[in-house]
Amino acid sequence: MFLQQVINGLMLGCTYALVALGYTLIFGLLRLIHMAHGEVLMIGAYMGLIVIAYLHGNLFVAMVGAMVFSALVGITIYFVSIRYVEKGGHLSPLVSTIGVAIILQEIFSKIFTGEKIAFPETLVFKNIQIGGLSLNTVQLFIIVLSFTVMFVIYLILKGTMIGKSIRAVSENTQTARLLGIRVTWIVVVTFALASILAGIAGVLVGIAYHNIYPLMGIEIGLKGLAIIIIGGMGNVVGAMMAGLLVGLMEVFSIAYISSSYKDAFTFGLMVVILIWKPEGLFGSVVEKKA
Amino acid sequence: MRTKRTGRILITFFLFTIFLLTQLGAPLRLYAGEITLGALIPLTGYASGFGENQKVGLDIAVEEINKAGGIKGSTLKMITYDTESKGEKAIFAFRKLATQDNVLAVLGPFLSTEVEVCFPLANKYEIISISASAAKPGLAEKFRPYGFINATSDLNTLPPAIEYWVSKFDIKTACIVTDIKDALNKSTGTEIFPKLLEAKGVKIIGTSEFVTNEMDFSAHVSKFKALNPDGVVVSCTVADAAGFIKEAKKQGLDKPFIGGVAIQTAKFLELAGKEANGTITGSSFWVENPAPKSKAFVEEFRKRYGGRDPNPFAANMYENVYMIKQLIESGEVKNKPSDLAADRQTIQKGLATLKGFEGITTTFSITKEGNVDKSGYVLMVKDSKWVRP
Repeated sequence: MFLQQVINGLMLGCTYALVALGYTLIFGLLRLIHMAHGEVLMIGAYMGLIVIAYLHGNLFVAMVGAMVFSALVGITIYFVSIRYVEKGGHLSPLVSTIGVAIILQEIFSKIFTGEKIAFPETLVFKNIQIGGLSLNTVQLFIIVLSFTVMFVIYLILKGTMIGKSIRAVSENTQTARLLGIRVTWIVVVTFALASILAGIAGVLVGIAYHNIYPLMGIEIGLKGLAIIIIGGMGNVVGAMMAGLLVGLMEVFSIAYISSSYKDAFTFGLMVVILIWKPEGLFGSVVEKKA
Repeated sequence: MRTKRTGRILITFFLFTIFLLTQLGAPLRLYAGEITLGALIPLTGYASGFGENQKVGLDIAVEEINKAGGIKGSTLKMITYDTESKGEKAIFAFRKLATQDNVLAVLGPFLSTEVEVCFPLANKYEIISISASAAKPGLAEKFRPYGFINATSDLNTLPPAIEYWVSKFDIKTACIVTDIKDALNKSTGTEIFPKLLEAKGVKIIGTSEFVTNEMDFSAHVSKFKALNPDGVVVSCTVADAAGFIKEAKKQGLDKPFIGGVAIQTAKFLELAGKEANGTITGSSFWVENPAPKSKAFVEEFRKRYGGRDPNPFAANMYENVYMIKQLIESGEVKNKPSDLAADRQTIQKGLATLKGFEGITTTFSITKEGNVDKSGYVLMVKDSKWVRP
């Protein structure tokens, strides 16, 4: 059972990590919490559902559709609720993204009803027995895909020109601008990347956990927030690691401690981290801006 | 100054006249060849979804009766008030029904909390109040002789289902997963199921708890899988039950599942798909019942309510109207203003001794505690339909 639970935890953790990664990219750049990020995930999930159930596409098409659409939604959110309210200080974009989140929830509740709907099953489902451990193709697919995506993001940030620009803008916007980096363009690209991650996570949630509904983004969004605090705000590797850690922790709390307190463990850890290690478990001191 | 004062007096007089007219008008209107009943239903507030469903059941009964010529030649008239899912509104509305609208009987209220405050009024005004949904045990007993309840809880409806489940699948050990945020499922999962299962000699070897709208059930399932029970109890709302069962089948925890009445819905079948097959529950109302009366009701209901199914509370409300009709027809109800008090007592006596009433849920009698002696249908999912095994 222990190994089985590790797999369960990794699966949940992968979803969390993808969401938290998006949060942290945006936070690193704008020092801003994007409260509608969970809703981008929700939209990704619905996009996947639409492609598979109504347009009869396969999972690959659904994934691509969700990625593209999520990216567009993310960029739109940036222009609608952040770009032009930014001047009002940090509180205004925070509140305006909450507004956008609520609007998106309502729109999707109107279109698809507020009830849960079943996500169509597209993956060939097979159980694989390794010793006492039973893995299935869905779990393997989700874990492998998530790690690949995270690795690709890591490579982009480390190795490519765009990645270097993102890191430069995160480090110091003014200097980056003086050095000739087009900051707005970089912000748009970052929003697109973060939203693509959320879109992928949305489809994965649909595949892994069977049901989706318009308010699904709220809980995952809040978890994502807790995770980037645990991992260190703006810290990319920290977000991935903390995502996996929280996934494993929740699963183990259900399995071995008390199932009804699983969320309390996550947010309790967040509070402890905030008190004792505000830079996060994996963070050196990130706050380089004055 | 003078005109202003005259104006005030005139307006006060005008209002007073209107008040007098309403007081005169009510009984006059009431007895012009009409039999008037009152209903209290939560049409707004947190229970409004259930209330709307129940209102459809009520409307169908009233329209059917009037189309077929009314009761003893009189038209049946309903005065329905919205309780807003609140006890204090229910009290206000109940008083109005009993003392101003002069209704013969009150159908409702819906919630147990509303019943607790309205049944004392029923005894005070000597008018029956019959709830079609309040499932908190012991309510009617406390408010004899005018409080009645035509509703069942999992405690009444689950025993036959558990009996079937235990003997059919030879269940000796079970695990229970419970939604502890939902009041109904919490009591079913943490009190009713353990009590009924232990009475059958089934050992509960594992429990797991979560709060409504859980996303990931994999850890709960793996935990149960390691314990290897003979059967699994899912005491959760529709979507969570579907999510749990799907995950369980995926992980190879392919055990017989049983749930409370909360999962007996079409939505459960839709969400769980083919994985729902074999799941068992007990309910006082069987939507797919082929009995003509029941079938006609369900068809009419679906037609009026966008294809959605009636819940047991709508069916109970439908029955309540017909029970009153039968009592009026067989009893000494005179339906004259001077006889209102006597008529109300006649209805009370008739209802307290009603035996073998043919409803659409089943044929049942009123017990001396003011409850119904309904038991549950054992229902099982077969080819994505709730059928009797």
